Amino acid sequence: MASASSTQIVMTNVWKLRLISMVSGLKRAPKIPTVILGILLAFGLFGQWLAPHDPISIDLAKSFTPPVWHEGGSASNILGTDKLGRDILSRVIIGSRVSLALSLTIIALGGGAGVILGLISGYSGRKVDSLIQRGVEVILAMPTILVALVFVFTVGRSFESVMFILSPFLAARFTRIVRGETLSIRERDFVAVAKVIGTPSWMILLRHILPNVFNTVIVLATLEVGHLILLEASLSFLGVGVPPPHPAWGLMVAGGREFISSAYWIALFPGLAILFAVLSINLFGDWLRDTLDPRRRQL
Amino acid sequence: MLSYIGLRILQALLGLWFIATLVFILSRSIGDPAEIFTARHGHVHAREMMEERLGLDKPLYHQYGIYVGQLLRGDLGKSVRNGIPITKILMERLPATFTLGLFALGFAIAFSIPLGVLGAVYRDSPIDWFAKVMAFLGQAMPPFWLGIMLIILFAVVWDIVPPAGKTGWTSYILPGFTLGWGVMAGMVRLVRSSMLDVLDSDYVTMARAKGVGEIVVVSKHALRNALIPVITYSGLVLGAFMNGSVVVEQVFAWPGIGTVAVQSVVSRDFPIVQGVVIVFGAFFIFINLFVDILYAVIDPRIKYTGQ
Repeated sequence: MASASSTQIVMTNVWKLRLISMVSGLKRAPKIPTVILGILLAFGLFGQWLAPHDPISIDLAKSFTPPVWHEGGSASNILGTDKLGRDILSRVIIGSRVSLALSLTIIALGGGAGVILGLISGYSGRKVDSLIQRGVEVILAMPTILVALVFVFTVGRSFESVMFILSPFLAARFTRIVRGETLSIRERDFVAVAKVIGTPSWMILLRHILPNVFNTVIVLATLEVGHLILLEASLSFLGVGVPPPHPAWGLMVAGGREFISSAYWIALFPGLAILFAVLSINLFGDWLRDTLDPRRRQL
Repeated sequence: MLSYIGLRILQALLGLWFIATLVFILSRSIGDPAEIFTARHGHVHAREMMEERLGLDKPLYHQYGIYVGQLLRGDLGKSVRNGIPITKILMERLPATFTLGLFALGFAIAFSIPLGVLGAVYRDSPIDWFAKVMAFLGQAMPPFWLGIMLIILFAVVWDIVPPAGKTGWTSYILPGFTLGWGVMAGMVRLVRSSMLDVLDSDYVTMARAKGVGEIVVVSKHALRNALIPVITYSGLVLGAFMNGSVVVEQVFAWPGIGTVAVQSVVSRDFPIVQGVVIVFGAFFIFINLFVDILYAVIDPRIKYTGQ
């Protein structure tokens, strides 16, 4: 009993130390991407107070107002307005919410499922492993955008349907990587020792293997957020994202497509928002990978 | 080695069967096409005729049997709208998608190998920074937006290439560039990091110690070995092309499979969408199979038997 409680203490200390080192490590993070991510997060959380205008209120008198540095631009709509006179800046700010909420939910659901499946697949071996791996292969062989397009178009556009159809694809990517890690950790001595003293499999997975794949999972999750933002934007561009009038970046670009020769700003700025968001997430993720998980340079 | 190849082929076939079955389940669970098409008219008889024509009046296991039988004979069914065989529609559209993909891949390789190699050889030099910026931009830019911006710049403002459609070789430039940039990004990073690994290795030090010239060391000793991961990556790239082609073809009104698929989704012509998903999936599985076998042939360190 005494040994069990002391492992408990050691384990919680490991997680606590890890948390402390993560927080203090953030100080060394690359500055510009971290700042952009902070701004993005602020947009997502406090957008309704930061946006200068109501993102969905229509004002036809102001339609196609160019950005402030153009002739005819006004200071009240710094980045101009769209066909219906809605403020582009406000829509870009509020639009971050859909991208962030959706990609983080999918990371939590799909990524979580992928970690569990990857652990089971890597640890159990043989039949269970090959069954899970065939499933992963099939999912990865499906054209994501096309399958999502069909699914969302049939069941209807909503936050939930996009979430539901993209999660398995993410789970498959997580499963593959976590399985690979588990396979190598399974062979290590401390796992063998744990087995010898009769530790149940679930506890070995939870206490001995999971903490060792944790870094990889964090890095992968960060890099996949960027990938998901792009995917969500593509779906939304094709008209099967979260439905209007909620502003979503992809949908805004699609809306500006008709007016590329007369009002380029409608398509330009939401695209720049996607670009900066994904760019800073990727730079941040790269830094995180180099710090936490230097073996996986190619992740 | 033969048993390894045999096992991989078996796995690929199993994967194909999984995909076909999954597509069947999805297509039967997302709604009755007969209802969708006849709901407007509200005529019971029309609906029954439609069900009979599509074989939907038979029990599900029977439908599945017919479906698998047709697939085995290479028959993907007919369009619900105009009755044209889907294999014919896809064969007509395949060349446009394929040539565009080839153009994009060629562009990606032509830029990524020199950029990746120079970036690794001259680390932290301006060319390394240029390669990094290109790579990071390529991975972060949404392709549909890049496409629209390129159209604005090169077709609307400067008017040097056609904005959309497939007209001549110049019409390949914008969509090919749009599709290829993202792929190039991944390749540059891969070439650079595997070059760095290889340049650090003992045999490169050995070659240098023997007095082999730097150009020969880089091009012969290092690059050849650094290209192995690039071959694997090229297989995965095709997945990116399949996804990308749906979006990029849409932006440039390119007459390929992606455009047909999107149109069919909108017009609810599901057999066509089914066909595209199966063909794309099969293509991806076979490319992976090919890459795995090629890999095993090229790299003698890979174990062929079991684990």
